[in-house]
Amino acid sequence: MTACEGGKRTMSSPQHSGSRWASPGGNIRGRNSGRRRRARPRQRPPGAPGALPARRRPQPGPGHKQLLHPAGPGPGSAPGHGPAAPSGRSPGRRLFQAGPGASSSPGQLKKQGCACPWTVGKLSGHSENQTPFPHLPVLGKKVGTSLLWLCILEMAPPKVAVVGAGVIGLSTALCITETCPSCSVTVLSDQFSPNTTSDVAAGMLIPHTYPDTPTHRQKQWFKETFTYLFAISNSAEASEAGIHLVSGWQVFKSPPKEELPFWSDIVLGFRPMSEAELQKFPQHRFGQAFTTLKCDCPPYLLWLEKRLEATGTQMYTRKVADLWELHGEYDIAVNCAGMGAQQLVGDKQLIPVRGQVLKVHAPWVKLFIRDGDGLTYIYPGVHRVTLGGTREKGSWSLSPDTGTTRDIFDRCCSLEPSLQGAQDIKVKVGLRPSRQCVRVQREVLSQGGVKLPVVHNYGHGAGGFSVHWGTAKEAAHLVGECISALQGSSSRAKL
Amino acid sequence: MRVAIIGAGVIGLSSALCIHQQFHGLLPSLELEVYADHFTPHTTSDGAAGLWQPYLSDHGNLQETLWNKETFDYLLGQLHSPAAKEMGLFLISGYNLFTEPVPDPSWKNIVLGFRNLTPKELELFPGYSYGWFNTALMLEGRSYLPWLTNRLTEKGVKFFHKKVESFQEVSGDGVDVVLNCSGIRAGHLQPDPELQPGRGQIIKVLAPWVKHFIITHNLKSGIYNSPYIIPGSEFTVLGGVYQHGNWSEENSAKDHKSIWDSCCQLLPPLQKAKIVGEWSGLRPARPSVRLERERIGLGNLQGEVIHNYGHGGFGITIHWGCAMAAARLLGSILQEKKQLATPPGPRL
Repeated sequence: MTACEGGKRTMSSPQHSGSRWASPGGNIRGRNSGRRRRARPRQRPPGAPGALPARRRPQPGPGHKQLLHPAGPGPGSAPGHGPAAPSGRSPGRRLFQAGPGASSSPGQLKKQGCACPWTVGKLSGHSENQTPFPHLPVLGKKVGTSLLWLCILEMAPPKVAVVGAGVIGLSTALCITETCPSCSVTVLSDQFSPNTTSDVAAGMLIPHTYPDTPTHRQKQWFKETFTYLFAISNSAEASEAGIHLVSGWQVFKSPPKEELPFWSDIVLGFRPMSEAELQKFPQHRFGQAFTTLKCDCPPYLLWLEKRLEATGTQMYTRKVADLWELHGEYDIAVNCAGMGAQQLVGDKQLIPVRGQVLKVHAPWVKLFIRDGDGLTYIYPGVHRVTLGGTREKGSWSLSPDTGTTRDIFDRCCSLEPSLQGAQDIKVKVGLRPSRQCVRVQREVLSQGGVKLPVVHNYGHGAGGFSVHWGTAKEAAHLVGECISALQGSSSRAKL
Repeated sequence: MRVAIIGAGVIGLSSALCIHQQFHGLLPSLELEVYADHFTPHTTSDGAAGLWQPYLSDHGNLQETLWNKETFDYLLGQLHSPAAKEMGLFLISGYNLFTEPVPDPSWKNIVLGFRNLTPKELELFPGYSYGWFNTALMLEGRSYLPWLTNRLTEKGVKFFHKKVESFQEVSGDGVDVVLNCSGIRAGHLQPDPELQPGRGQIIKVLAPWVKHFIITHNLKSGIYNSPYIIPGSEFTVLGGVYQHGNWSEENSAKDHKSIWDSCCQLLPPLQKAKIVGEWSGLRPARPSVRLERERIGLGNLQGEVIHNYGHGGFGITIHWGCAMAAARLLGSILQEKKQLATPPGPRL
């Protein structure tokens, strides 16, 4: 089941979007290799000089059983990864909160934190020979077991794994930490910035229209994203986050499908272009002028990572080949794998739409220009201008094509002749994870009597940046629902 | 026929180029010479951010509004030429902010897409309740002046680095016309009490995420005495000082603090911007631009001076209109001297 409404597929003009980086040599999977990260004191194991930054540590392998109590390195934890808890959590991260007086009497156990005390998946993998709560008084078996479950019911924060570290994965993880502060969130991805799909995108807030998502829902997502980024753009964090306002023009050779797109009242100052402005574009007859926001990557992704680290969220380089790998280690899986979702969950509706872009040095370009057909665009970023592009449906190639580079350059120069003087042209390719509608949806996977709650948040195609915060919030809300469901079913099952 | 131009700021160099373009074909013997004590990057024009924008009101001086328009239209026409990048010419949009409603400016139909700000846009600027948005042009002095110099050099114009003390000094010896484009120091050549410095100070920062100009206005304290932020191609200019009568070209710590604090308050992300330079300059302020002929004695002969100075804080904005007007004045002079049968064609 999908969240799409049935509908005739229309050829909308997809916006370029997040796609995967490829270096000019055409290397598909650019692994982070030795690039230094900012020091992350909370997560670096002390006394481990030269240790890889937290998110490039390989995570303890799948199937490793997590203890609820960080009593020290548990079985299976890899040596050399420091005194942190076997799950790799940083010291200081709330794991298991006993209420005051817990050690004296289970009756005084209190519910901690905000309302997400749950882990059922963990228990199913729990070894019966271990004493999970050594700090609790030893009780008679029968009573003790019931109270044990009560303790678990009320005490253990849910462990959420977010698969994917592009703009969707990171923003979703961040929203989850905000809506569920006592959750333990971990981001798992085979790629991190600057090697994600999002790093290739310009990050312009100009929505793509999803044919099968209701307009009001798209508008809501866009509005939430715009509002959120607008506030940051005017704060001291703007430069670090790479978020800035940019004004410009969308020009059309033939009359646009809609005079007023659904997002025209969300961007700033939307109006038709004047005759004098249109004279700059002799081949175009109509146009719209407005001011919108741009999220530059890598800065924006790195800033999201920094905010995640501040919440204690761990991030690991790890390729998740199957969501079931996460069962046992995590209670809920959040699938923000973008194009990776095709393999991960076998979604045949998800197809790559290849985009090639040029990132050039042309600091005098202060205005964006976009052809309404979505194929040619000039987006000035903090340091570079993104020139685009292509929309090649079904192409998986991450290698830059030189003929395409020439074509993009020519098309952009015809819109903005001064680009002839652009320097230091870098070519990038990404695969927009495209779908008729964005899949933001809950699911409970079931296998051999075992369940794994999953929240999907992928398929943003050409519009990832434009709606990312809105879909992240919705996905976080669905994670909350999963938690409540776990809570509800466990209390029914166990007590 | 020799014409001597005093001053190598935007006014002097553009006047020279305009004259060359207009008359060279008609008067192949025309020789131009530029004399200046300062050349780029040490002129007043080099310190200006380069934004095309006249003052809020032309005070009924329609001639200046026309020259502004001629400049804008000329530059707009150059925008798509291969020279644009080298000229330092590009489009830029931005905001003018006020604390109360004001009448539309004389230039509202010259710039592109002029409109009032929406309430949501005004949310960006607490303390300001009214404003304009428009798209205008930047013409960065640090690029434009070298470009003008190169064009002039190509055309055989000669440059002389000297401080000229009198018109007589550069005339005689076949120089019949002197173009006085000496800017703030015109008073040395001929006293002019109407010419006063409008001292400005700017801080140059690296803030490449700023894509709009933001100019605030305080109607009580006067033009450019209120913070402004103007992003260039390499760095962003922060300013907001206009001190009438102050001849100091030293950077003032007090002005620095005032500019920095007020600009950071206007645009909080600037707090993270790196400061890369500071500069003070003297706007050659005058109630109106002096653009006129004057007959003077040049030794034994009568000569002509064409004055073209007093462009205040809008020199770049008005320069080409004035250059063309100066060229027209030269045309009249040449006609009178029977050097030309008829004035040059349609460009005038």
